[in-house]
Amino acid sequence: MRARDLRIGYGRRVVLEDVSLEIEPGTLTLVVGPNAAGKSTLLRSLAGILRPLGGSVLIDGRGVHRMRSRERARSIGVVLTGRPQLSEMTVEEVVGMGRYPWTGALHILSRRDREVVEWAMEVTGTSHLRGRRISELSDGQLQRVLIARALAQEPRYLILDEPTTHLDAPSRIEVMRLLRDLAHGHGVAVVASTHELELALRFADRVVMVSSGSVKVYERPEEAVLDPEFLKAFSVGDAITLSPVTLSLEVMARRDEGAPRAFVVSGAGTGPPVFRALLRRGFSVAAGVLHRNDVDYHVATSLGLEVVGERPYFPISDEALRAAVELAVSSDLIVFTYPPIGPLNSGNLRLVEELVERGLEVYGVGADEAYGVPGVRYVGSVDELPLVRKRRISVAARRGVWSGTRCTSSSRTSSASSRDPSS
Amino acid sequence: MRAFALPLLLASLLASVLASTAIGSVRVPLDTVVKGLLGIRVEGLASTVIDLRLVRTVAALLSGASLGAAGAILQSLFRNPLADPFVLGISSGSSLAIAATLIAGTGLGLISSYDPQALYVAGALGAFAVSLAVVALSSLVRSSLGLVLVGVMLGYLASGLTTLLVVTSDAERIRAFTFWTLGTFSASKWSVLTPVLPLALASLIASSLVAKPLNALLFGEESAASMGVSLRASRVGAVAVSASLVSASVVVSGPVGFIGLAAPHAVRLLLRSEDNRVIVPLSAVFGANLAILSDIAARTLLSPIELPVTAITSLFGAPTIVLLVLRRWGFR
Repeated sequence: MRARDLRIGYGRRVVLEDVSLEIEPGTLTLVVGPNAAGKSTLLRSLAGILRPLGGSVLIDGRGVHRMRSRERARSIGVVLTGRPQLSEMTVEEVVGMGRYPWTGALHILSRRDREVVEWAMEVTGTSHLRGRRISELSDGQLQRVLIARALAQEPRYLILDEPTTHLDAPSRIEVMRLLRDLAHGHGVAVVASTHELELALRFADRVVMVSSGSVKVYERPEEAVLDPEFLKAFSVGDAITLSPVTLSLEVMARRDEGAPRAFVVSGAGTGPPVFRALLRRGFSVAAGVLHRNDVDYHVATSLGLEVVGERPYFPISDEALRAAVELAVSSDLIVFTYPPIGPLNSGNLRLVEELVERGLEVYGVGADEAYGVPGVRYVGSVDELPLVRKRRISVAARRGVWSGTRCTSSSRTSSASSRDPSS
Repeated sequence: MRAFALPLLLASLLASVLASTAIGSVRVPLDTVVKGLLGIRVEGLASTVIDLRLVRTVAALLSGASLGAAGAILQSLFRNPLADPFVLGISSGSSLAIAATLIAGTGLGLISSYDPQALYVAGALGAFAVSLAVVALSSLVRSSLGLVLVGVMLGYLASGLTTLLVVTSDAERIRAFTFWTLGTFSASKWSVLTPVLPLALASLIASSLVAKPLNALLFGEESAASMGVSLRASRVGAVAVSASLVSASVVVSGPVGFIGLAAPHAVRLLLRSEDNRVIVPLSAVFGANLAILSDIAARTLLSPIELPVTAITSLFGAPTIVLLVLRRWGFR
């Protein structure tokens, strides 16, 4: 299927222009884009239901919009949104309706028709529901039944509009898996729209982005992730980050100048729950020292935290330690999350020792106190931390004279002096 | 239930035909009725009585069957449980066209006052025109209730015009078509019935052909189009078939209300199915049944006074509408 120079929309309102794309058999193409960007309009035009304002959609050189509906239905199956009003119909009847373009005027199913219906129910995992009425199905089951109905048309192309909307998380994944199996296992060219970016990037063979009046095709999802334009189309004022490594979306923490500041010493996955808990309680969070290949580093940067980083597989440098100390002493709260310590990150242990030595209160948070660090006060969960909103916690209570600000100014010199013996 | 529905309905239809012929001011014994129906000579008064009652029974059968099938088609086409030839004003439009044809035709000497085929064609055109008007308006009025309101008003408009025609034409002809404004089986004649019967039968057969696209339309218009339905052709087809059915019924008995509404609902309840390939024909059988029973009630309830059959059908039809409205819009 090939779309050439499509201009689509309704009446005078042009929704998308200059759309050219090719749909190959055996691939799952997912169309993503913000709501109301024109995903449905594009799919309807490809499916031949909506006449384009310009350009053409061709299958084997023939215009989709010039075909008779019966002929078109034999090569394109379509599943649209919305619950159809057929509550009293059984699953088998509904899937049987998919034989519409193949049966005679009375829609009496032949043996071959029945075989195809059986096949369609089997691939979609709906055989056991055959006698159920549509009104008795869950949303996920109904979606699979409607896909079976479209498959019963024996189409080469399957076009679905938002097949995962309104579904719960397991059903969403089930439907996506089904679509991928149909493409890879049965050679159908599947095109589906979704506004769920993470799902799309995980399942698609190709990604089509629809936004602000145009269409961009990425041959691989990895290309999409690395394209800053791609993320921009979904982002609300740069508030969202997409990790190219884990493909997960993260909402950036809002920076609030007046917020109390927390510094977290973590690593190897011990940090993220603490970051999130502190952010939830209104803290501005910084973390360090984290190797750039550490998962904590990934999460922290995705969350938009201030991070003191270190090159992968290098021991923590004095430079990094110095930066960390500087950040820590200007914080209102210092938290240690008991990361596993090895030769490369032992610097973090020294960092904590240094902070304790300076009389700063360091709180230990973790499921259990994995190992003792002298001077660290183990409190267990984040809830036990002395969290005081909008008020600076006196971190240097024992010395009495240090306020947060003075701590910052004096830290520079002291951290410089303490660095030398340790290195 | 599905397997038993057809034989059950046919058996009860036979029973009501027998009852309709037997019951009345003069009681005719059942065996005589059966003899009469089978064409065996029956002597004396009974023969006349049987013939008289048989005409109106067949009229009721034809009219009820047509209305039942038409109602099922319209409900499915408009995806509106309240659709019915009478409610949507299609019957009234048909009878207006018939009255106009009658006055114009006989006035100009083109047709005799009872040329049933000409009247049928006129009635079908009238029904078709109103149906198209309703289709056009249904795209503007999005709600089911709004559509019904539009239909009812169209119906009033048409019957108002019919009354106007009747009152302003000469007294001689008024008698000829007062019943087309009323809806009754009492004025039935073989001379009208016989020519219309094959037309009604053909329309009933045609109605089973529109069932397939109507089924697909249950998925919504766009989905139906993607399944291979040619939207315009199937819509025009469904409207044409229902118009033809309505016209056959109106020529024979005038606009009779609510049979087209109640029959499909009863059948759907009975079968628990949405499959129009079954619903449409069974609605015809059920509608015929309903019409005959209503006719029996109309002439026996206040005997010797005879009620117009619409008075009876309204008794079950109007509450059905109210019930459907209450159920659909959230009151229980």
